[in-house]
Amino acid sequence: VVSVRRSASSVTLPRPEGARAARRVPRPPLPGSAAVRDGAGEVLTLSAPSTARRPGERRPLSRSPREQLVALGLLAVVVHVVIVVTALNGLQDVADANDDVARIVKAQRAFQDADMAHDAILASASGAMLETRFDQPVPAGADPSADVLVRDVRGFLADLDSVEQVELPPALERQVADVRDVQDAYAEAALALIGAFDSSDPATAESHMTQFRQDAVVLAERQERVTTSMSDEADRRRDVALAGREAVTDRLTASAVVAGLGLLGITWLLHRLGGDVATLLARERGVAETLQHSLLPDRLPDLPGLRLAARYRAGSVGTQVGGDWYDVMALPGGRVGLVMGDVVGHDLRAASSMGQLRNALRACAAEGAAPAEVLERLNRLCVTQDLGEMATIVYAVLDPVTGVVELANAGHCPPLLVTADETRLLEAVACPPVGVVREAQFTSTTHALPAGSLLLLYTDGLVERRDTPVDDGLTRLQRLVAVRPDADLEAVCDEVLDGMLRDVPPDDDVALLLIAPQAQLGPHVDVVWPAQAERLSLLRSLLERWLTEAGADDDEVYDILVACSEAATNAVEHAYGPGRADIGVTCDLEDGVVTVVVRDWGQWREARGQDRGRGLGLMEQLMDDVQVRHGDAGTEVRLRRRLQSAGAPAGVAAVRA
Amino acid sequence: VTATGVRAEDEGAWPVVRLIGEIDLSNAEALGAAAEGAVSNRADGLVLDMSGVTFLDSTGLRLVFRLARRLRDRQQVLRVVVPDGARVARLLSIAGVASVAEVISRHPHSTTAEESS
Repeated sequence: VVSVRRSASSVTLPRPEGARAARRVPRPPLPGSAAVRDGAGEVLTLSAPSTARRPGERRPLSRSPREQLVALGLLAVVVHVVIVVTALNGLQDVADANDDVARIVKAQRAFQDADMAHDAILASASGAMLETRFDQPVPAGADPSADVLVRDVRGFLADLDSVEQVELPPALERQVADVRDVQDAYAEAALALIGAFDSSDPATAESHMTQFRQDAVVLAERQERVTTSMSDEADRRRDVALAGREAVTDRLTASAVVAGLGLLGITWLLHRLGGDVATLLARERGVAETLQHSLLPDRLPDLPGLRLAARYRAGSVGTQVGGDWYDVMALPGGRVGLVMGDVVGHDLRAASSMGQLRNALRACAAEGAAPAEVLERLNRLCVTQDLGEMATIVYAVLDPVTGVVELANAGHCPPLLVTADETRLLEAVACPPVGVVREAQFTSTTHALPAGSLLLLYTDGLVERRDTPVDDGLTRLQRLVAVRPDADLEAVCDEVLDGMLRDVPPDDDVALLLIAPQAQLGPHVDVVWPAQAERLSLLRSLLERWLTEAGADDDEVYDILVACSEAATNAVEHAYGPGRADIGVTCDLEDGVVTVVVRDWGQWREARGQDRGRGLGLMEQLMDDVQVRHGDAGTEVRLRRRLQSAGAPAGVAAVRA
Repeated sequence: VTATGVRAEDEGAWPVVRLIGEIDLSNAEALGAAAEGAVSNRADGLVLDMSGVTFLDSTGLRLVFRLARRLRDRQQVLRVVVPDGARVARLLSIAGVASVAEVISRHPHSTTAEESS
């Protein structure tokens, strides 16, 4: 058996010798460090610790809100303590002054008692003298006996003693002591009077009595003076106590005000600090979100025979954006690469890592290699080039014409396939996430994706909840999605998101990509096809599908296919030199007339070799009308044929309706 | 993707080459060479069975014409088997293959056993 198979072109990326060593490129020495070249030629960099501050260097003036907060708090506490301590001292002064006042008042009272006793002595003495000297009756109320005088003098002296026992301010103490001598002398004089009266010498008694009265007047004056001093002093001390009390009140008020202001300031700073923190978080989240959205496709490509819809939703409050991404790319041969990936992490790093992975995957997939091979290349790249974080990825290659989808899964959630007959998860052979194991093997599986079916690629955020098993989420998803060939895919996206996330907003972010091969291609198809012999077969498949849909019978399909194939083959053979090139194919059905335009953007050259140039004749025989236009911009072949079933072919009628 | 291939059966004086699947620019050259290689010097000619061909355009016709010319140069005959009503039959008739080869609708040595070489 000689069998000729289309061989997939495989490109193996060469691994340069010493690729790892190349990463240790010596950096230029840092300022303030010495570079030493050692024996092996490697540069060792020795640098001083960078924490040492240069002399004269000042701390920056602006403080962080946290430092401000601590400083204000400490200041408020210190001021508060100082004020309270001085207030307590003032309180002690007030108490002292009050004590003084009380003592002075007590002494004053004793002095007043002594004054009254002094009056009694005078009265008693006068009474005794009258009785002794004139033998006259004593006035009513006066006690004439000498015993009474003695008792009064003793009471007087007792009052004075009680004054002495009171502790008084030194100035008063001195005055009291001074007057005490006078008082003692006066008391002695009073007692001496008794003897004088007893001597029965009226003149002597008279003179004693006169003297005694004079002494009494002097004493009364001196005592009056001391009492006044005491009153004055008591008033002064009272004022001191009053002023002290006012000061304490003022200080306590000030303390309360300081505490209040401090609290106010701290509250304000806390508010500002909270605002700053919130702003910072919001800013980082915003940057990550912008980055993420810039890395997701602006709009999904418009591909013939395929409907696409996608959603990305960031996680709920408390988490940030993640590294979820999806991608759709046109591959050679009209095939479509579909990507759903999830980078570990939920921050700026994850988002940027996702960007790198996305582009690396695009590069690995551009040639149209099988999914398993693409993931293996990407994995090697990740592990050896330190491309970023670990990621789970589903990569699928879909042929929209044949409806065959081939996919490989690197540790990601299984895609969901929904057809008219069944809803099933495309569980694959377990393969590790990308970026973990150096020599990871991936396996591709092939599935049929017939017209009218639906393929769902999604990230774990859609089905995973913190409190429920993943299987529950998967079961829920399977129940939720039913196939409705004519349903608007955008609406289906919203339904799936709402249905899965309505009850519990997801912690994680969610990406969703829906792929639905169109049941109908419609009356107009416009594709750009790679000008490669290997891709002609798929182009014919697309055309055959469209022609059948347009109502062409079997012979017509074949004739038109051959004519188109001629035009396309000519473009592949004659229009371009070696290298990548494209051909454009446009199909139109109008009033039962099929028009297919095949164009290239190359330079036409005549057929070479024997048996060539048969194509144009064939086209003319198979089609009603063939127009070939060569120009500087390329060649355009316009093929027209009226279908026998002209009028209202069933397929197109359905599309138009 | 339709499998495309060629089966050659050594029938002694009339080796048979069966072409299967689609023939276009991507494989015509290889198929032609394989078919040519199946014809030994001793053979009277070649039976090219195109019953299994699902698509053919001028690239495939070129293969047939070239094969016919090579065989004629060696005084050998090309017989092309195409069932009536087959898709490719109309194309072969438009192209005038009958002028260089015997076009027959059935295999003359109808055998079920396919021997590979």
